[in-house]
Amino acid sequence: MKFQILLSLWSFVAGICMAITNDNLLQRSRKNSDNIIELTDGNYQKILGTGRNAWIMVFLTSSSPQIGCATCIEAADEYKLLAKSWFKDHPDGVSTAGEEETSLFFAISDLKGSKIPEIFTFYGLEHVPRFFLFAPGGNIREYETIDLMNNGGMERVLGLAGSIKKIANIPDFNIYQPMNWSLIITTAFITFGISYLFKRHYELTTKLLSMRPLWALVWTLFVILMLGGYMFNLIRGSQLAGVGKDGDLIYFLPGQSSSQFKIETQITGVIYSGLAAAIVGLVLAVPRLKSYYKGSGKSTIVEVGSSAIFAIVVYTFFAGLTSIYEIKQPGYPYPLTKISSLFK
Amino acid sequence: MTATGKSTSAKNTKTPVLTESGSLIKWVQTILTLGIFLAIFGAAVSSRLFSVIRFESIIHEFDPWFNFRATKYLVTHSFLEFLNWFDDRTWYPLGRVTGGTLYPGLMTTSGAVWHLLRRIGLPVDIRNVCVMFAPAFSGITALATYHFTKEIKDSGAGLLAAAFMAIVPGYISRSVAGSYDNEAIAITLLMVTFMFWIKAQKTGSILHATLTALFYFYMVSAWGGYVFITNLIPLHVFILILMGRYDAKLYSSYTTWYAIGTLASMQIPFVGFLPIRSNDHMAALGVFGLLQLVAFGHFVKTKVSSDKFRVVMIVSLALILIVGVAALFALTYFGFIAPWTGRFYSLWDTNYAKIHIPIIASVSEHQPVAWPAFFFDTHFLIWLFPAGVFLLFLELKNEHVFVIVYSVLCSYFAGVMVRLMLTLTPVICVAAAVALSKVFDVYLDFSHTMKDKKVNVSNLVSRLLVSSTFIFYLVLFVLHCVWVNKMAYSSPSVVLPSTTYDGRTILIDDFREAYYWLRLNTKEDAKIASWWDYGYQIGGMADRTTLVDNNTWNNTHIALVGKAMASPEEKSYEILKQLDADYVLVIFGGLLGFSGDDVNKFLWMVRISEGIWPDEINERDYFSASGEYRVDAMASQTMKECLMYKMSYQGYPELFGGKGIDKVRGQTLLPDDVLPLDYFEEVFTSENWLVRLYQLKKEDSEGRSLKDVGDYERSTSKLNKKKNFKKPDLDLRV
Repeated sequence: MKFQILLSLWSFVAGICMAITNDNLLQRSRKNSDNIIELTDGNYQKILGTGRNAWIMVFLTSSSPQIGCATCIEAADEYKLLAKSWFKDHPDGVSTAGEEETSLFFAISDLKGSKIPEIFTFYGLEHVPRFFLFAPGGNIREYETIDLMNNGGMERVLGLAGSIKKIANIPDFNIYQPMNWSLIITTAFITFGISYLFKRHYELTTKLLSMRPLWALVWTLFVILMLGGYMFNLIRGSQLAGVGKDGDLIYFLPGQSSSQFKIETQITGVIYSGLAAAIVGLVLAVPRLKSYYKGSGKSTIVEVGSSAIFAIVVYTFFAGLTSIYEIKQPGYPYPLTKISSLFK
Repeated sequence: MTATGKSTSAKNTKTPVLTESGSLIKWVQTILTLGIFLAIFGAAVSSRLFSVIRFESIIHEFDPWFNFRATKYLVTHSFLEFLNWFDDRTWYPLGRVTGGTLYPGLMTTSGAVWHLLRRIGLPVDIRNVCVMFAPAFSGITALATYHFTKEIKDSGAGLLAAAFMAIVPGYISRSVAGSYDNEAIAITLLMVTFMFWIKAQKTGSILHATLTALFYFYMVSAWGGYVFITNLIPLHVFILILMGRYDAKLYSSYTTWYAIGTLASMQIPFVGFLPIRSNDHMAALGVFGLLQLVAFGHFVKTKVSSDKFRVVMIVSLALILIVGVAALFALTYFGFIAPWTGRFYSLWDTNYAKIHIPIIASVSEHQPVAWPAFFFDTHFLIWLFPAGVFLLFLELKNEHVFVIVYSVLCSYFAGVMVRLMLTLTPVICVAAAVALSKVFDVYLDFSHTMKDKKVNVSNLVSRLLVSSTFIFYLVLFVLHCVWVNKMAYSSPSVVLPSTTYDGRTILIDDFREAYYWLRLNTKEDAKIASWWDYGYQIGGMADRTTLVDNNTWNNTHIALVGKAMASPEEKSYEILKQLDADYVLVIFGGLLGFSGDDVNKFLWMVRISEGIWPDEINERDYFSASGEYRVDAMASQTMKECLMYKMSYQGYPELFGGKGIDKVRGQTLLPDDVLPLDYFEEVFTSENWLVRLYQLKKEDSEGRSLKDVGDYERSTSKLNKKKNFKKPDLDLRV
């Protein structure tokens, strides 16, 4: 019995001596302009593994281009916003709004180069980004994983703040969205520019506005964008492109006809535009060229040449389309590149 | 079928040749056109018969089962009884005013067909009428598309469009034999209405406008998607006015259509006063008013000088616009006009549904579309389509504006919701046909070459080159369509096809096995609790009362069932007892590898019930500690305790002698992972474990809780408890 008391007393005293104080954490935070503690191989055991009475949120991420994690890069900015908002209300990292004082600090470990930080191997991480929330105390093995919402942006920041509020029981954690000056400025600039053009060059702009091919181009491009799955990217927030097993870039999500990368929209957009342009060329440009060169000796060669070029363009682009479709739907029986397969 | 399709496309390409007059040529032309139409009709019907030939003449999927049930009710009762039908066998214990909440167009049409066939001495079973309904109407759609495109360009383009429409997979997806759904008739009516509208605005004919209104009425009676027409026609008119193309023809056609169409549509009980009270319909009313003002303005313009008129015009237009919008807001605010429906919001604000109405977001038809789906559904039409839009833009007659507006709007809608692909498909066919026929006009016109004595070889070569490549694409299109139809759109999803390792095709008929078991072995008034997807099928095939079904009119009721599935047994038992349910049905695909099962749908049940009871249900609790959706030993405690999990996996590990491999999730379950069921008892499991049925146990006669009873029994009979599950004879399936 006595021994136990002694032991607990000892551990208490030792805890105080060894413990990392809030002031210490605050100092470490202040080192960086965004108030986020950088976890290194040398300090992570001390910060997470020694007794303290502050909550610590840890963000494990990788901004390395080899990893190619688009979400990580998004989340990094959001994480900065989170920390900034917290320190705006609580300059010392301490909240006094609850029944008792709660303090919270933010830390990050970023896999930047090829060297994997020790903390990644310590937790056996296979996926980034991850958010761990460590409760006061000092057990490095005990933490809460906080979900990463699918939707980036403010929604995710609010979600993270909500999770922290709930777990750490902090009533006052407000997010201050930074004013998006660039957007306002561009909008203002564009509005100004347009109204200036309109006022100054009234005739030119009205001429431009009543130009049919321009409208045709705009709306045709809109249709092409939609057919390329633009709305899918927007709603699902798909990644720009993927990374293969050997760290190489993948442009097409293979074998998945109901999902896609953002870049696929751009590639199919180019293909559709090329095809549409070739058709328009066949219908409008070739007869015009023909009548333009009528009488001259070049007439036949121009006609045959231009129509053949357009036909070949159509064939090439269509063959390209079917071959990328074959990536999305393996075993597609009618790719244009393998005409032989049609006559089986 | 392939042969018919090919001949269609090949013949089409010849028609532009026959433009000279002369009685013989006219005769040949008529006979050719007729022949082509017969071929198109044949291709349209036959390419939709794969499901009947490969499976059987059976109603497909989910919603068609309700339509079929309603049609049966209609042909056995009078029309008035049908309209007054109160169905107490669904949405138990609430019931559903079915007659007043359905679109009766489909049922009355097939009822009329059935009566007609009986009159002329061909008594056909109503089931067969329903199964063959969609293929027959697809032929009419092709005809309407022909006339529509003929108004846009000429009959050559019309024939191409009709042939495309007949076999394009995007339309076949909803109109194969057995897919007895509202869309089956609605697309036909959509095209007929649009065709008459184009004719009406072109000629200003009141007859055509009235016909537009009548078919609009028919459309309203058949499909909720009529709102698309209600907004597209006014938008067309509005844009024409903006372009300064107002004329008396536009006035007479639009006002006739609006007046008759609106009055007629209000006769449908389900629609009622919506056309004057809901925001979905306000655009039509607004344009109607605007048109009066514009007409008045035009009248004034002839009377006063143009300078004065300009000022008057601008001031009054601005005033009207402001007053109109303000009035709309005020009326909506005070509740005179119903705000837009949730589905409508989710079209514009794509995140709306996810946040506010999980039930809309949960439906797989409401998911956004990735690009391969467009290609899959339309093949090379997908790239002819933008070209067609561009070419139409350069001409820009009034009717072309309609096609362009339709294309732009619908390509956006189809990108947001996969089900709206169906409304996009007709315009893809039309625009693609216009583009292709323009190409053929230039390159397939050999009449010149035939007439000239001296053959221009280079000219001929270039023409042959271009036209032959496009004819090759047409052949490829037919092959693609047949492949898609065979592959993807011909499964009834009631019977599942499967291939054994040695290549034999076998049919998995678990659904019907289970529904028949219900029909034969349960009391006639037994109530079956299941997730809403299976409500219509249980009603149609098992003829038993359901708690919720695919008519998702009551979110709370659905959430209640979802809560029962997501709660621990004791709680579920209480909820289900209160709902007076007798049996619980779950779909489990782990053995077969059927990914559309309840465990995969389960998160939606959780989300929907979380929307109503956020304190009791929390989505996070159903994920493992590392945030994954797991069903094996790593599954969270909440997951393991919930009813859906227990029912799905009850006895499953034992089936494999202690290591149950879930083929859908690819995870392995041990017997200890699956907790025992005390409040429910298994009464039936189908051959391949796809459908599992449980009965609610009676309360203990000694007043103990059923859990205590279960614990007691387990402790006493631990030794002889070894359950003997018979493993079904399952070959490896590919």
